Amino acid sequence: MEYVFKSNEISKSYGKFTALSDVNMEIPKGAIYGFVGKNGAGKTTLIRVMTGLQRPSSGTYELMGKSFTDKDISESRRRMGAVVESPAVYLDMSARDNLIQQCLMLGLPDYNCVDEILEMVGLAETGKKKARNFSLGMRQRLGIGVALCGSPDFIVLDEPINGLDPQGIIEVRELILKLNRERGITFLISSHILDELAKVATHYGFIDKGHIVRQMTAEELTDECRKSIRMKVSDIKLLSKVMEEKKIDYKVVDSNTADVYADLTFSEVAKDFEKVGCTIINMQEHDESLEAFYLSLLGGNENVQKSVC
Amino acid sequence: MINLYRANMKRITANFIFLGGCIIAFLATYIFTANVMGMTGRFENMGPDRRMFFISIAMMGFFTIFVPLYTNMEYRFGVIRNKIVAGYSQKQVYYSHLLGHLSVLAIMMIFYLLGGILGGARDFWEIALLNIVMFFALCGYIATMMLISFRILKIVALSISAFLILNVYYTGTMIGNALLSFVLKGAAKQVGVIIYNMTVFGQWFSGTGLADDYINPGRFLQMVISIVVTLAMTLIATAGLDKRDLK
Amino acid sequence: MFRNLYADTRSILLSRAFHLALIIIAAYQVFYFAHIKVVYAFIGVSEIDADDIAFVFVSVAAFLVTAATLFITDREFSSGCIRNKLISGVKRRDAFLSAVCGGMLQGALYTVFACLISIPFIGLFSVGFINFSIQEVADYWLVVVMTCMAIGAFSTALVMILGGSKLSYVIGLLIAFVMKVWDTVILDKLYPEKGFCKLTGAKLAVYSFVDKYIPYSYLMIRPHYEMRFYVTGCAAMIVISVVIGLIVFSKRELK
Repeated sequence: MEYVFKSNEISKSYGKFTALSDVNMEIPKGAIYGFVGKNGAGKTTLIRVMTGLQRPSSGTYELMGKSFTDKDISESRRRMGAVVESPAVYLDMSARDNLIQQCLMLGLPDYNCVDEILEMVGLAETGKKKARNFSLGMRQRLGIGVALCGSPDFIVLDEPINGLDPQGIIEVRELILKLNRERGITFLISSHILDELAKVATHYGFIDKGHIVRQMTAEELTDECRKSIRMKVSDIKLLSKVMEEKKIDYKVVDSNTADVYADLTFSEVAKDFEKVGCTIINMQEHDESLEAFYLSLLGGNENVQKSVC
Repeated sequence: MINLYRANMKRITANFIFLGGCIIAFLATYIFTANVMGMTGRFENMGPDRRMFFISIAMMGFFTIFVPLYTNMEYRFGVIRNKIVAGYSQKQVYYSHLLGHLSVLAIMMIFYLLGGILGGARDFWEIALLNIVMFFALCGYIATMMLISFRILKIVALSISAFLILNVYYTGTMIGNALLSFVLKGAAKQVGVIIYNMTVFGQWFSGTGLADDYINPGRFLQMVISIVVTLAMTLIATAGLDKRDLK
Repeated sequence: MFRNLYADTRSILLSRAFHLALIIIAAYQVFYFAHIKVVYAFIGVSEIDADDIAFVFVSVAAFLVTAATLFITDREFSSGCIRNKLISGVKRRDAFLSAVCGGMLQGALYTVFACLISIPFIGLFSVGFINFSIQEVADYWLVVVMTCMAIGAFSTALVMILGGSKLSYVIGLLIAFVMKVWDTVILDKLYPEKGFCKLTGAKLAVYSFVDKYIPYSYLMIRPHYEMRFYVTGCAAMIVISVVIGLIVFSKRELK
């Protein structure tokens, strides 16, 4: 399999503090790689190392087949775009001028892509308005637009939907999917909004305290996220009694709801509950969300945001 | 790096501070050279050629403001990240800015020369020689401003440092005048003259005709000193620059 | 108002920039003394007059006070803390006045510290004052204190008016430098080394006005007017800074 990014035991320390520790990560070509972790886990640090803003304290990595110590690594970097932390744009220039400036810097022969990119990121109507007068969301879009200059093969987006309204979030999601599908662009997206990531990512990397805890494809994640049947009953104690007798794994959600992790037949279940005098109010299939999987993998519920959609 | 330089020049030449500076350079030089304000005494006696050279020191003030403010935008706006991500090194970004500012200096000097010639300066050889020396001296000063601009990332600390350097150069020149006149003798005086001419103020002062002759070590040597200063500042600025972590 | 003033004062006294400014004043005194020693050794003079080492701070006061107040006051805007103050109910007038008082306090403290630092050097390494009586030394330091307070107020008002703008980073420092150079020219014209002052008319009036009433010029030469001129000049600078600053800052839109 071809990888656009492959790291081998990358570590990064700032004095005594270790931000990354022996990170091994592979981003397959053509993937939309969802990079997930708590605040302070090391996501942005790894992105900074990957984009060349910082050097690793130890370890190596390859970007599009070239080692980062190669003299011609810049050729690989030319094929990369990134928005790291906050959008890097000239505040005293308009959206169009910012893109032209990026094209100039990349040595592109003309500015034909500028109009198309402005249209793609929804800033075609901004005219001569300076970026300092843009809202946060508009600056975010402009940052993405700058990253798109030069038709990169690999784009890194660090929390790209920060500051975007629901419409904007949908548009960015559609844009990512479109570029991935039509142009085969590989994406690395770091985000806290897990449900949003789940709608686009084909691969996931979970990072915690500077270590990559797990890497998996979307299919593997789906398999791991346990299916359950959510049952709403009249008496939760009676449900517990029935499940324990049958040795079925279950989890009480609230005073009259539980998730049952087994393949149940409604008629059999109904009979068992009737025997003990418990009424089933509601039963439905329920998938464990990425959020729940994340919690079970990394522990704790701090810093996990529910989807804004 | 040519692309970086071109992108830089496109931005600089659209910058209102630069454009205003060029207009002021032209107007101020013309007004001063032609003695429009009717100055008397020392300034009247200087003649248009020396008056033209006298006002050239204002460019030093301009670059004290322009170089740090403009270069620091890379860090304030974070756009240096775009360049690093695209594969350029920090050294390349530095050189593109340095060359950009030196180009700005050349453009500004054209406006300045135009103002001076229209204001009545006529001695071609004297104008040419003095202003070539001034050009090299200002290159050294710009390299000094670039050194602090790439090393001090906070804009307030950078502005303070830039004006500190300006003050130190000015005060150093005043003290140098006194030391060279009354204190230093022999070899110490020779060394003092070299150090004195390391600053723009020193070289400018020797070209105004207000200073004693011993302060001028020769125009060629002044240019060499300026080139050495420029190279030294560039070397210090770029030492270990690529290894620096960016946020 | 007083609660805000206390909070701002506390913030200034605890800030690293304030401590750094004090260290720089002390270091500069040491460096200048060493430099004088070397120069005197060159010219074969063994005894140092207190006149040469007592008022070292005066030559850098304008720059140092301007830089320190810029650094400390700009924090309000760069960190966004000014927004917290205004949101929590502090009136704009109070926020501005408190900042200006902080600037004046800084000016006074730096000068007092410089005076205290110079005392051991005078006592240990000099033969005493030659051209100053005790009264004149006291007057000189008093004038410097007032001047630094006025410059502190002016510089702080400037930052508050322009806060967040690129201009705020350079304009105070530029004014301090330009005034230093211009004052040198003015003093050279008003008090030439040889002969008499040859200025007349408007130029004489302007130059005399600057020499008498603009605080920056008080730092260029020892006091040579009556105290009332210095008090008037410093007070005028403070009042003008506060009045204009209040008008502008009250109407200013903050981001």
